[in-house]
Amino acid sequence: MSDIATGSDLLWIARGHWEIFIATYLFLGGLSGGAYLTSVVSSELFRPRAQGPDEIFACEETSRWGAIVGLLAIAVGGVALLSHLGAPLRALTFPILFTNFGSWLVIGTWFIVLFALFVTIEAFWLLFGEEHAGSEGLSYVPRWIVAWIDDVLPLPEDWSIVAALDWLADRLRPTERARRVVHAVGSVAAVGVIVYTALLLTDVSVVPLWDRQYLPIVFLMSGPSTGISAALLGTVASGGGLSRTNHLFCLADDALIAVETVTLVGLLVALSSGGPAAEQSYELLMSGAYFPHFAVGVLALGLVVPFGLSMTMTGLVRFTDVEHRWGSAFTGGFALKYVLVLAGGFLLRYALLFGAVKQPLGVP
Amino acid sequence: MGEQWGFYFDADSCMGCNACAIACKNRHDTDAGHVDWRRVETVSEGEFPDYEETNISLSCMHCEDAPCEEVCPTGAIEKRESDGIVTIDQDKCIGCGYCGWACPYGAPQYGDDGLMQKCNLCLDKGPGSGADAPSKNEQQANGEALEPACVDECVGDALDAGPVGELLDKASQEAAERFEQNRTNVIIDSTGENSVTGMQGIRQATEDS
Repeated sequence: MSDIATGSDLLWIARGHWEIFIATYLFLGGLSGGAYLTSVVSSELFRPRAQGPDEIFACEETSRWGAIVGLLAIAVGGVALLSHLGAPLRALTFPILFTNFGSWLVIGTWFIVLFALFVTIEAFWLLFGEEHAGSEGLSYVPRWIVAWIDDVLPLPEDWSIVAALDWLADRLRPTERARRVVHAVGSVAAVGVIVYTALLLTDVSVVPLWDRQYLPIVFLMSGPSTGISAALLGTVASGGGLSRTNHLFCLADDALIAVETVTLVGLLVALSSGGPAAEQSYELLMSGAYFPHFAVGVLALGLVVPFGLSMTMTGLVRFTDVEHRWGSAFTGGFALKYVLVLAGGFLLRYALLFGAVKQPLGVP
Repeated sequence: MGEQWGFYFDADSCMGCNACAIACKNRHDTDAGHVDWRRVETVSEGEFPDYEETNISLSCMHCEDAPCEEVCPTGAIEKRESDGIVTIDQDKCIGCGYCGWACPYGAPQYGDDGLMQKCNLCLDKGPGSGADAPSKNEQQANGEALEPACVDECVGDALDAGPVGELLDKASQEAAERFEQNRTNVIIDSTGENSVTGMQGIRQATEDS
């Protein structure tokens, strides 16, 4: 009759109702915030110091890919979240309906709305305006799509959507100083989105796997790591795999991976002796049903292998000149690293959701 | 605040017949199979020949600090001032399932309509009912209060419901003391050697997390 598992002197309570859509949403939320941060860092820190046309091109591609990926991810993540809800249309009335500001779901929703606004503006400014007309680069795909629509639609010859968007972008483009303020506020919103996805889980105190001490740090590392990987995967596809920008971001990603790995190990140690539900989650992740997802997918393929791959390539670049001779191999290596980090980031959310076990009711 | 209502459960009298769970389904016309506002669980202890079982009839505990209410984004879940019963207003529920995770007892559950539902201590009949019903205290004073279906149909008189003050008069001193320590608004009474020692044990397990 009930889906509660019973066992020796403990009453196990059934898990909640979150499935794959929520894992997808948690992943894309972190990725989106991280991609925006990558875009801002590339624009504000790397682009002003770039030397030579190739490095400038790589910086700009990373900025554009970061904004595009961020926008796409938050849009798809939002759809995934709505798909899970029992009353999705009702949720769209959130400005009126979401009244409990003590709930992380409400706080997070406003972070998402604010962030979505900033990432949309950023993508718009980076893709449209007179200075972008005729520019090269794979990241201009959205601009090409709009141009294609211009060709397909039976519009008057002197009327073009691209031209209209360029005009609008030029009129709305702020000064450099104002742009920095926009980036700063947008970055706060991005970090809010990344961290909120962790706090949403940790607010559930009866699931030891969703640990308040470790999980926010894991998500704070994983979000930017997946965001960097998605944006830099685009840059690599655009031909910027051997650029200094890519190398710098790759090293930054390695640092995030290292901290994430240490934090996850800390979480696992805490779980292994944290009581019945914690221990059951530990077993599920490390030897049970989710061993392939967590131990293999997250720890090995999503963290250790990308870190090792990156360190190997960094060493070869630093101490040899093989990068110039085997450029395509390095480009493939970077692409592989970023793909593995992305897959690991998704599997992390998947395993954290499906490995969740509720604290049983104690029967002394 | 009006007087808090709650359940009383005597584990020694429960024979595990599930009449309470079936009566609840009949009263509220909840979906067969996967939605259980009330359910009976059997907890085992030891190994043969020193093996014993205890039956526990579980529903919403109408907690004093209801975690489901704290996480609900829309305020659809309310700990009512008038009688302390925790209700879900399905006109506000978006079906996010957050309350289902937050509840240590697995009380809020999805119905076929994609919205959450749970025990409302028979404030009214049917899923989604009860949120705007008059206080149970007022209903009782007017002679309109529904006796909870689970109490109504319990074969061994293991279940009772009412203002907590009245229930405490019925409970053993040990059960009353346990209730005072952990006010979940369900009083579990039991004297058997192998019995569930009430909500103290249940709360302990959750708070250890």
